[in-house]
Amino acid sequence: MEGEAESRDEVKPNVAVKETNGDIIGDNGVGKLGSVEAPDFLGKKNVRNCSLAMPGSGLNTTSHAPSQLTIFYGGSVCVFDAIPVEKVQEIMLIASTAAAANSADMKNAATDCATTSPVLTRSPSLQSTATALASPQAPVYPLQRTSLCKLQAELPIARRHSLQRFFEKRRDRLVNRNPYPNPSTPKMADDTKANLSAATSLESGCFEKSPVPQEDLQPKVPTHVA
Amino acid sequence: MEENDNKMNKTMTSPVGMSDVVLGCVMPYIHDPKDRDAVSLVCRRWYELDALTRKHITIALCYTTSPDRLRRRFQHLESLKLKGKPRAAMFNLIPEDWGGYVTPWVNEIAENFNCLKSLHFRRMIVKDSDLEVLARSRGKVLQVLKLDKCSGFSTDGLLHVGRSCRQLKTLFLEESLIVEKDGQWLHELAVNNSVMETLNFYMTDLVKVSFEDLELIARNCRNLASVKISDCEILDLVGFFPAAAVLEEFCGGSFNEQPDRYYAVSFPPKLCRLGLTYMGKNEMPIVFPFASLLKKLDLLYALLDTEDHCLLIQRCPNLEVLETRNVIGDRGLEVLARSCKRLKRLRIERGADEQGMEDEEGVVSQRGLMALAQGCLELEYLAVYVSDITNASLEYIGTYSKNLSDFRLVLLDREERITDLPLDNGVRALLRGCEKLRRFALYLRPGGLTDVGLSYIGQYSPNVRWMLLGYVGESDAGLLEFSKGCPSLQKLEMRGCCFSEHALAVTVMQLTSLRYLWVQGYRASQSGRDLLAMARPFWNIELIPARRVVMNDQVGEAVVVEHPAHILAYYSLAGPRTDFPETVIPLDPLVAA
Repeated sequence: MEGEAESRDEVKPNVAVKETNGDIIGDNGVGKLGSVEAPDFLGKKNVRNCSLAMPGSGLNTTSHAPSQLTIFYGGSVCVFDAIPVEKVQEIMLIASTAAAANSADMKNAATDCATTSPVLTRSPSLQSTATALASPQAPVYPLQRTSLCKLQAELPIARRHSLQRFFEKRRDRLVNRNPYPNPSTPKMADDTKANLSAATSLESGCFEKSPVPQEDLQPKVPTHVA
Repeated sequence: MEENDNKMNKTMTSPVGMSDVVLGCVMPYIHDPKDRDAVSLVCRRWYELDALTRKHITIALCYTTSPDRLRRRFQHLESLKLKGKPRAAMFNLIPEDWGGYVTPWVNEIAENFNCLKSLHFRRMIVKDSDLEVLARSRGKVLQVLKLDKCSGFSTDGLLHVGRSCRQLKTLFLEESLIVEKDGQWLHELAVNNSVMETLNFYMTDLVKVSFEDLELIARNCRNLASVKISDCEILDLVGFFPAAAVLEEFCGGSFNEQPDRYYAVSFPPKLCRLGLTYMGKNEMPIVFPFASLLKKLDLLYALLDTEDHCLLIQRCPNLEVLETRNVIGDRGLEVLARSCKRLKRLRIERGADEQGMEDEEGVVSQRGLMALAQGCLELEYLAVYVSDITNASLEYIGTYSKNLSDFRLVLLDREERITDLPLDNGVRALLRGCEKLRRFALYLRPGGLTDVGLSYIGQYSPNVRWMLLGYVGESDAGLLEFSKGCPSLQKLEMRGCCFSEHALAVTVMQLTSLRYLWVQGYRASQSGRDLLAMARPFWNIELIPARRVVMNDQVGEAVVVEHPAHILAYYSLAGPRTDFPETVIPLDPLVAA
């Protein structure tokens, strides 16, 4: 992680995400962005319960170390060095989605009937996240669940190494065979052999022919064991 | 104990009135380790006789004792199994250099264990030099060598084995991380060995081996019964299969050509345990001619969808062992329940999460479990990743699966809503119904099991020796109730729990049989010293502090993964380790933290 410092001279992203009473307020003091655009939600939207509402004052530069992310949560502080700005945006998106999901769940549970608020999908567009929560509801703060959810996010179900390896190899096989997959192809359960160009490659893991000339075909008679 | 050294007194009687001669005849028939343990505690004479006649020892964690302690007690040992890294290492959770080096053991074996014929190292670090020492000192007598999920060695080390271990009947390398220089090791094996019965380098990435050497082994070794290899084109094995006349088990291979070319492949007549890597729906029919003979089917690395599973499984009425991914689906489980009445072991692993890589039908839920319980009454082992679950399905298992000795359930975290949580009542019913249960794993999510449910686990698992608990309970109170039960629990693994260090320490002190604890994800104390409440003689406590690891995620991108801290604690007669890597820290109560 430390060796991955991606500080570019023209970009000094610095995000401090602070939590107050369950609200997550993002405070994005971004330096000169260069070619990176500030995402919409950072600047303009005020989203209930996961508000990354900015003081609309625009961009502030601070004197923190470049690409450092500080998160205050539940009484503890985490500092991460060398986070690229894209990752920070992803993190903030996840936070806003998670908090929005919590809020939506609480709403549904409270009203106990299908509400008109749209169900939040896994990767909502920024726009829908904002409009979905336009109408304020009495916020319920599921603090315990949030902390356990956080625990779950930190500790995803671990994957078995042998299967991980298999999935990697399977992916490589498909890429080798079908480097330009048709996006409308639904299942890839059976390998599409149609695009088999190169027959076998090292990646598909076939045995190579042995370079060593074959010796006698009979096993050497084992020397007598005393 | 006083012993009469009088040479005229040839038959000694032990306190229970049995002569040594009789005991010496009876003792070799006692195999179960727990029985042997009991026998050795009767009196010194019985302890000595046990030590002389014990054939096999399993050391569940290599750091619980030392090589010379083993030698002092069991110098005539014929078979040894040693385990190193925690089980979590199979899930990439343990630093590679954690430990579990075989070197001190190999050196002791080379010097002193003259009767040792069978060696099994599991999750340990093996060096080429270790293999060289072993081959040189024990090569003439070694019959079984298993390097099971090991790492640290290369094919150069295997060269020594191939050259010197000519009596080797079993060479097992499955899932080991081996640095591959060439395929010469297999060639050495092929020209030097004629007694091989089990050859396994499945799930290694060895690709430079030659199928001609495989053929040679098949021709020379008339008792070759089990062969599991890495990815080798199946069509290249057209010489191997006919040569392996008595082959019963084959796994591995690879399908890279047009499906219809495989219809000409003929398999050995006794083949009844099979697993073909990358087998898809178009190649599957090559198995049909002998599917009714199959007792074991490994579909973990096949490319079948739910429908394919149904088509294949219904042709396997004699199936006893099935391993596959959750692409089998509830529908596949229903077919299994109808068709495979002799099923004893079922393992359903988690498929890939990537869109389009697995079947939409490929989820397992309460529906499949209920069908399975009712249909497969002989089930002894069930490990399953489910996407949904109910109490009723667990009750079914408790009602029908009377032979179940090993049950593992993981609730996947993709679905937000689960039909029926918490699972308190279902878990209780399962534990009460499955009286033979020895191993139990339950991995849920917050809300999956209340404190009451956790207390049920403590109350109703009298014979369970190993448990993995993930995201169970709600508070320390639940854990403390749990720890009042589980009278047989020797090894406890916990993950993602909300329990405090203090509660963990109290739990350890209360569980009467506990000798090994592993925890990842817990509520750390402010000082980090609450764990010391479990400090006591012969109890080693180790921490792996939180780490950040760069890994490749599912789509091959580099991500930084946070690894929360681990606690590992175990009884040891050998004192604290002396070979800690940087990532592991011993907790020593004598040293001010």
